[in-house]
Amino acid sequence: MKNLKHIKYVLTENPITFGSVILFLLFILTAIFGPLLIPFDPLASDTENALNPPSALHWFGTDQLGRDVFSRVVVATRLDLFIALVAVILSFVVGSILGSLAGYYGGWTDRIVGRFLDTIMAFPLFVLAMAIVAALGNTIENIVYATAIINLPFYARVARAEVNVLRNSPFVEAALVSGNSHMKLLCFQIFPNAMPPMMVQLSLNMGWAILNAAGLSFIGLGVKPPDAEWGIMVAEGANYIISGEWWVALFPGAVLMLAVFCFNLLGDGLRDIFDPRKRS
Amino acid sequence: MNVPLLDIKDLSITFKTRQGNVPALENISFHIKKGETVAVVGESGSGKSVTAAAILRILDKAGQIDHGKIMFSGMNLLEFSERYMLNIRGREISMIFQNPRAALNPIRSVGKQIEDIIRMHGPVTKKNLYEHAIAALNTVNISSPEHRYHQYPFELSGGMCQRVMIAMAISCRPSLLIADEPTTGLDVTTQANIMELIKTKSTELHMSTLLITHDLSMAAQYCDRIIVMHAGHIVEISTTDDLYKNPLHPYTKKLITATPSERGNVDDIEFIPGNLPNLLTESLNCRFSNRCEFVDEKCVNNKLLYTEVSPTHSVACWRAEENATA
Amino acid sequence: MLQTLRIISGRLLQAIPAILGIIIVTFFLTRALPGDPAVYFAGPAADAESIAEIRHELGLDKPLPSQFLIYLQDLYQGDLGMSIGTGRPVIEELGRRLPASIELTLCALVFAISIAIPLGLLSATRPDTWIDHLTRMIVTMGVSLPTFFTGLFFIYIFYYLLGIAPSPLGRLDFIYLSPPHVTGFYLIDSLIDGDWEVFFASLSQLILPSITLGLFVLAPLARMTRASMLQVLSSDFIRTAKANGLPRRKILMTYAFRNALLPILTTMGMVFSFLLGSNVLVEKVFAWPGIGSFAIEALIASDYAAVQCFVLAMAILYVFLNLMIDVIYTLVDPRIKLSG
Repeated sequence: MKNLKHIKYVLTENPITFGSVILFLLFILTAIFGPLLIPFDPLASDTENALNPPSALHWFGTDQLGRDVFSRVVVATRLDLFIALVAVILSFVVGSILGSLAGYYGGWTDRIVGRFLDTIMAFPLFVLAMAIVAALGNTIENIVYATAIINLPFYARVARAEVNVLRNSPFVEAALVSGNSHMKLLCFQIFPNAMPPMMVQLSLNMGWAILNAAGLSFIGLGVKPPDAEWGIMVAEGANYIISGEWWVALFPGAVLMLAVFCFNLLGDGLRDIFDPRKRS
Repeated sequence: MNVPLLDIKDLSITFKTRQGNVPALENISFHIKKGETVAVVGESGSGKSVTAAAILRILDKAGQIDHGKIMFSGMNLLEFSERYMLNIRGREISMIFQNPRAALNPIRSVGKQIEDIIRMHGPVTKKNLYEHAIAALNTVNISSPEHRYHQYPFELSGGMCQRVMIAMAISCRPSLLIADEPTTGLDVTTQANIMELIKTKSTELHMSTLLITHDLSMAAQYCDRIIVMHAGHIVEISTTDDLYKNPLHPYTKKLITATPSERGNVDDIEFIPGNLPNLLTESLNCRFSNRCEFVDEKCVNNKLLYTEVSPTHSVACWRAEENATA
Repeated sequence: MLQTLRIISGRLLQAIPAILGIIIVTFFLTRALPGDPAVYFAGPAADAESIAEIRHELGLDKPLPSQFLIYLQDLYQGDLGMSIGTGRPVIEELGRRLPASIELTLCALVFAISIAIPLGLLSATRPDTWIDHLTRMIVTMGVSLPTFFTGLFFIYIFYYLLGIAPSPLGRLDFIYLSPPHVTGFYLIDSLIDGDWEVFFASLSQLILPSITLGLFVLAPLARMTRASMLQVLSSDFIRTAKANGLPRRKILMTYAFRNALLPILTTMGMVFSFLLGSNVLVEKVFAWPGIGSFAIEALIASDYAAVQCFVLAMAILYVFLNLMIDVIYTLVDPRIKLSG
């Protein structure tokens, strides 16, 4: 009950956090139901009506093939959020396992995991993502893997730190002495306690993952035309900026920015809920 | 010259916090004469450090001075501009703090830190600056000062860091030195050394000293007069001898029995019951009333009364006279 | 002095495992190519015979460990393969393009630092004023900005609408000739040549891309400056400095800021990671002929030798940048310098 009260306090105290929660829900709803409600077929081209500015009919205007930008942006929401979500979950799961094991067992496990993470971190992350997609193949699936890999270290490090601290706490000592197995302890006692800071990390990473995925498709990796995805839409629209047809690139870009912004604010808000000491 | 060097009159300070206003100090009045060593003794949270910070006007931003005067050599410090206070701090009034290693800049050599202060307060040439710094280190009995000059706080022991701080504080020969728990965090032998050093320097420089401490026995050992504070009130002011011979305030008495002495038994140490009042929520006339064994209606309902039992002994207690003979 | 050298060499040694890791990873990435790498390296016009030849040449018919040794050998000799596009050694092309990227990145860095640090400082020393609120807003929004989007947005506003920015088509407008090559940095080379027109023309082309690139790293830098200053300002030694009558300016700059710099330096590692990564995006938006656009072209053309070269170069550059930060940190903080 106390937690609920605290959550309510944080939400009402900070209207921005509250706003980000609303925005977040809006995005989720758009991703789930959007494609069913859009006015136009995102793939239907209509070259006669190419590059029309925003109007009552086409809220976001039309692109170079006459497709409705608004519908495409809505459909792209689903794709982008999906890519980011899967990547982040993958990152979280693998990172948590690696980090927990390293933090719990220490010694060689820690060293090997550490080396592995260091190697990932030795690359500028976006460059590594590019390399992975280039090597594995130019598909959406590989964008997910690449994004997951470069986000691994964040989770692994948080998990490792938290588990390491908890491992030395009295209740763990007591539990071990009374015969609990290491694995059981790790899974059911220690890791749940490490969850709160991980949750904050999850939300912050979502924003970062969306940026990553969009960035990769902007340079031509992963998503191929005619799929609708924010990054590739901005890339396609980039050619028309200099001639003044701003809506083709700017609307998907703005929505992309809004989504990242939303997740970052959400992450900050979550941080306030779970650990008010870390408030900036 | 009978005008006291420092004369604080009716100083009241409130702290504005998120949860509300805390009346940290209420009507604090005391004075320090030239050359005197005075101690302010009290538990943590009694307001001792706040008083010290108020004198130098380095209070936290949340602290607001409601009313009062801080007269220094006849001038009210509270009326000075911030710019003028720069002439006072480090030059007329200096302060040293507890946990000396943390109180020094960790990435600047101690020699340079001393020079910073000397340069601030006097027309000194660059060459002289170095010599002055070495001289300052010498004054506080730091051996091989030329070598120490280049060292950093983390390379020095706690006691040596405190010596450096003292060197910084007295480098411009202030008339008043405020020592805020200077020996906290140091081992016993070093504590004695530091206190001896402070005492020696005070005599040498004709400096008044305001010692802030929770250790009554230390206060008794080194100070002429003792001011006892409790929860933002001054409860008793007296010469050291008088305080021990004839403690008037119930809190003072408790303090004395709670303090381990050389001759006493560990079993004789008594605890002071209760806790400091929550100044946010409780508005009390006498802030000791909740912990006092002598409390009665008069204490609770009437404003605190300061009685001057003798020219050098005053107490804030309704029942002081009755207890005087005890 | 000796101690400092010892620490620097120690840090250099620590960088070796990182470089080793990078080399191994890049090796595996190219060997993980879907299909037959030889086909890619041979090029689209190759027939079965020349593919087999390439395969033999590249040693792709040998077992993996010996391939790795050959790879190491090639690296050591600076042979990173041929570019499919130009037919010239990849490393040559990289060398040609590198100055453009470095010039851009350096300008972005200068821009970011010169805005972020004062902003963070002011925000920390004047809490709850308009500048504090502005800084916090910039910091929150800055990390959300997709670099390519801001670039396009700026082009639209400043080039198309306001007409004050030059055409975003590279380092220099086509009416100018690039300055005679000395360093490869147009700003420096034009000054050496004494050609002020070219200098200003290059500068005006640099402005928008540098700001776009720098904006992204401005946010974490400003945030760290602010947080670090706030923390330092509330520490004991600042209280002592105040009590000793040191003036505000001295306390802020000599005492507070120098101490606050240490965590800021640590943030620089992340800053460089962002810079090097976003470089690619900005180069695409502004048609900047640096190694970022080189990599993009290579990706599209499936020119894998070029991609590999790019990744290696960026990674090794990053390692050395981090090394540099480490060394600077060691020199600045006497606690590390003296306790080794």
